[in-house]
Amino acid sequence: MSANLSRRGFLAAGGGLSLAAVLGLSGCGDSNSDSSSGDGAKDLKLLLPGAVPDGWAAVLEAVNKKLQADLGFSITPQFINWNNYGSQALLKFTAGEKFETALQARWLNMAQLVGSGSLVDVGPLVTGGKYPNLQKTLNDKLIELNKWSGKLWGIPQVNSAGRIHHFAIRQDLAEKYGITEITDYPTLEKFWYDVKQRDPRVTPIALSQNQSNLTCVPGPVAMFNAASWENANRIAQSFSGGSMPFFLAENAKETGSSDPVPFWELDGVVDALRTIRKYYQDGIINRDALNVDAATTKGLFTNGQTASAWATTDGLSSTTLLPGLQKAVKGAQLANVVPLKGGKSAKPNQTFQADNFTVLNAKGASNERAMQLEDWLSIKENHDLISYGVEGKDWKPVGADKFEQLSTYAFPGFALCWRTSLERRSALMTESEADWFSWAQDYDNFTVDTFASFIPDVNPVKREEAQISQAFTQYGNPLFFGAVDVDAGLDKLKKAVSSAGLDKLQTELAKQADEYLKTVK
Amino acid sequence: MSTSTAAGRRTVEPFTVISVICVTVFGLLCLIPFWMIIAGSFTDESKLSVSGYSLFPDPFSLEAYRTIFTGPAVLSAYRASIFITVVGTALSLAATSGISWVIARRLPYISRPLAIFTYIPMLFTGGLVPMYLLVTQYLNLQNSLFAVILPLLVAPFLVFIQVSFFRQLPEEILESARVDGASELRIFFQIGLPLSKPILAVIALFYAVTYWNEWFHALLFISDTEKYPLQLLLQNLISSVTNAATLPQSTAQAAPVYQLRLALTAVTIGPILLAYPFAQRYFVKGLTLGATKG
Repeated sequence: MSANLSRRGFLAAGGGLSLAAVLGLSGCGDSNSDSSSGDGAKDLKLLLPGAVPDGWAAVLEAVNKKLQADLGFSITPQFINWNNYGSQALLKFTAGEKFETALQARWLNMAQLVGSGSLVDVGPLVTGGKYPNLQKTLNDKLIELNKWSGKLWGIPQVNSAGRIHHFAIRQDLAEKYGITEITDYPTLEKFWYDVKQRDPRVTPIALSQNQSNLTCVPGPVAMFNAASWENANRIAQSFSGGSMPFFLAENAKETGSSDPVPFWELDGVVDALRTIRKYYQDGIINRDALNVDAATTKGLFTNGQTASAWATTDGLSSTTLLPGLQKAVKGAQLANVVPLKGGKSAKPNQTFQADNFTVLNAKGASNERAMQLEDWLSIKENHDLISYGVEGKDWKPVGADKFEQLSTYAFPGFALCWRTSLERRSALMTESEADWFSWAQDYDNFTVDTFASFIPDVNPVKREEAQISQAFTQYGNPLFFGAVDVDAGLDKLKKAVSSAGLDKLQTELAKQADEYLKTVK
Repeated sequence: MSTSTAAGRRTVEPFTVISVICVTVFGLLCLIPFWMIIAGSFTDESKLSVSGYSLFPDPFSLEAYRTIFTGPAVLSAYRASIFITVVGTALSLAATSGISWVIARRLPYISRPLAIFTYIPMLFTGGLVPMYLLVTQYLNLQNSLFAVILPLLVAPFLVFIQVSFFRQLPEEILESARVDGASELRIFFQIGLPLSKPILAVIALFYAVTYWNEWFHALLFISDTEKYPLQLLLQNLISSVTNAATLPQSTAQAAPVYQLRLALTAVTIGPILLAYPFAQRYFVKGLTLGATKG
C-alpha cells in the first residue's frame, strides 16, 4: 500500500514538474513576434518569398529609417523559401495570423483565399484617389483586367504590359553560320539544325520539366508551334495552373457561345507535337527534359553547352544569362529572338492578367498602413531603395532609367513593388532584349483577349479536375517533350482524360465561359 | 572430434568465403555512392553538369563549400542545431523514459489510460493548423528553439519500444528493492535506468537523428534568421539557388547547383554520422530486446 502511495506521489510530482516546465517554457518565446500587440500597426509584417537577400540588414535599416520619418511606421518582412512559400503562406492565413501583405497568385492559393474571405478587395482603395502614387503607376487596363467578378483581390505586380515566351540564343554562333538576325520561325529552326551540324557538342536547345505544354500549346505563342508564331491570337484557358488547357471559340464574343475544345483540336498543335518529336529524334532538343530542372538547363546554357534558352519579355534574360555565359565562353553574345510574323507590329493576344499579386490580409492589423506602404513604394526614390539596395553600395544609376549592379543584393520586387514605369533596366541588357522589353511595356502593342479576365471556378469540378491534371501530367509531358510517338501518345492521353471526366470539365468550362461572355460588352 | 575441429580452423570454409565476398560487395555498394557524393562535392560544376558523378574529383573545386560557408550565419545555424539536438534529446529521453516507466509498471487506473493517451497520436494527430495555433498563440513560442523541440518531445513509437524493454526487467530485482525500502524514484533512477542502458542509447540515437534533421517545425515557427537551424538554412540555400533559374529576381547568382547539392549532403550528414559509433554497441541489443519481448 505504501509502495502504491509512493508511486502515486511520484506521478503527482512528475505531472506537476511537467506542467511547471510547460508553463515555464511558454515564457521563452519571442513576445515581439505576436503582431496582435498594440504595436501591430506600427511595425508591418510582410510575407515575402525566397531567401533573405545579401546585405538585407543595411537596406532594411535604410528603408525603415525613411519609412518612419515619412509615415511613422516600419516594416518587418519575413522571407519564406520558395519550396515552402505556398503552404506556409496558406497556413498563416488559415491560422489567422496578423501580417499585412503577402505574395499571392492563381498558381499559389489565391482562389482558395478569396473563397475563404482572407483577402481584402483593394479595387476601391487603388482607384479611390487616396493613394495617388500607387494609382499613377498602375495602368487602368491592368486594374480592370485583373478583377475577378468585379473585385480586385491584390495589387498586380508586373514590370511589363504583356509577357511573350521566346528564346535567348547564342548570337555569336548565329553569326558564325551566316545568320545576322532571326526574325521568323523557319530561320530559327535552320539555326538549330546548323548548330547540330556544325557544333555537334552543343545541344541546340535544352528544355526543362517545368516547360511542359509551353512547347506546343499557345498562350498566345508556344515554343515549337510554328502556327502560333504566324498568328498569335489564341490563348488557352484552364481551371488551374497545371490543368488541361482548352481553347474557346475564336468568335465567342459575336456568337455568345464559348464552345471549348481540348487543346489538341486547335490547328497547329498536333503539327507542333510532330515537330517536337522530330527535334527529339534529330537531337535538336535534349532527351532528358522530363527529368531536368530549370537550374540545370540554365547552367547548361551559361556553360556554353546549349545554343538557346527559354526567355520571356520580363527584361531579365540578359542579366541572368549573359555574365555566366561570357565567363565560360569568350566572345559569346546573346540575342533575344521573338519570331512573331510581323515582328513588333504583330499585336499578339494578351489577357494582361498579372502572374503575381501583393494581397492584403483581411485579418491584418492595419490595411490602411499596408496601402500607405504600397503608395510609398510607388515613389521612385523609395522603390529604388528597396528594389536595388543602397545606392553607391549595391548599385549605381546609369542614365535615367538604367542601373549597374555593384553587389549581389536581389530583392523579390515582384512580391511587393514591381511597377512598370519605375523599373530600372540593367546596364547589362542586350540591345535586342531592350527592344523587345520596350515593346512589351506598351499595352497598345497587344490585343485584349476575349476571355481576358475570365477566371474559371474549379469548385464544381474539383474531383474531375484533379484526376485530369494527374492524367495530363502523366501522358501529356512525354508528348510535349517528344519522348513518345505522337499518335500513340495522344491516343493514350485522350483515353486517360476521357475516363477521368473530360466531358464534365468541358461542359462546366462552357457554362462558366458563356456566363462570362454575357458580362463582356 | 578435436582433430576435425583443428582441421576446420586451418581450412577456410566456402561459406565463409562467399559470406565475406557478399558482405564486402554489399559494403562497397553502400560506400561507393557515399564516396561519389563526397567526390562530386569537390568536382567542378562545369564537369559535373556534363558527365555526372565520378569516383575522383577532377577538376577539383571548393566552390560549393565556399558558397555554403560564406553564406549567412552557418555558424549560428550549427549552434542552433546542436542546441536543438542536445537539449531536445535530453528532454525527450527524460520524458520518454518517465512515461514508459509508469506505463510499464501496470499501475491500476493510471497505466492503461496513460498508454492509450500516448499511443493515440500514432493513429491520429490534431493537424497542422491546431498545432500552429497552440505553439504560436497559446504557448507563445514563436522564434524560440523550444518550438522545434516540444512538438517532437515524445515519440509514441519509442515509448512503445521502451515500455517493452522495461517490462522485461526482472520483477524480483525491483521487488527486493521495494522490500529494502527504496522509493519509486530511487528504483527508477538507481535500478531501472542503469539496467536499461541499451534501450536508452537506441532511443537517444533515434531522437538525436530526428532533432538533427528537423527543419519543418523551424520553418513553421522560426522567422529570426539567426535562430535558423542548419537544415533550414541549407534548405533555403538550395531552394534559392534552384529557383534562381526561373524566378524574376534582379540578379541570379551563378552558384554551382549540382555541386552544391552534393556538398550540402556531405555537410549535413557528417556530424550526425559521428553519433552512430557511440551507440553502435547498444544498438542491435536494444532494438531486438525491445522488439521481441513485451
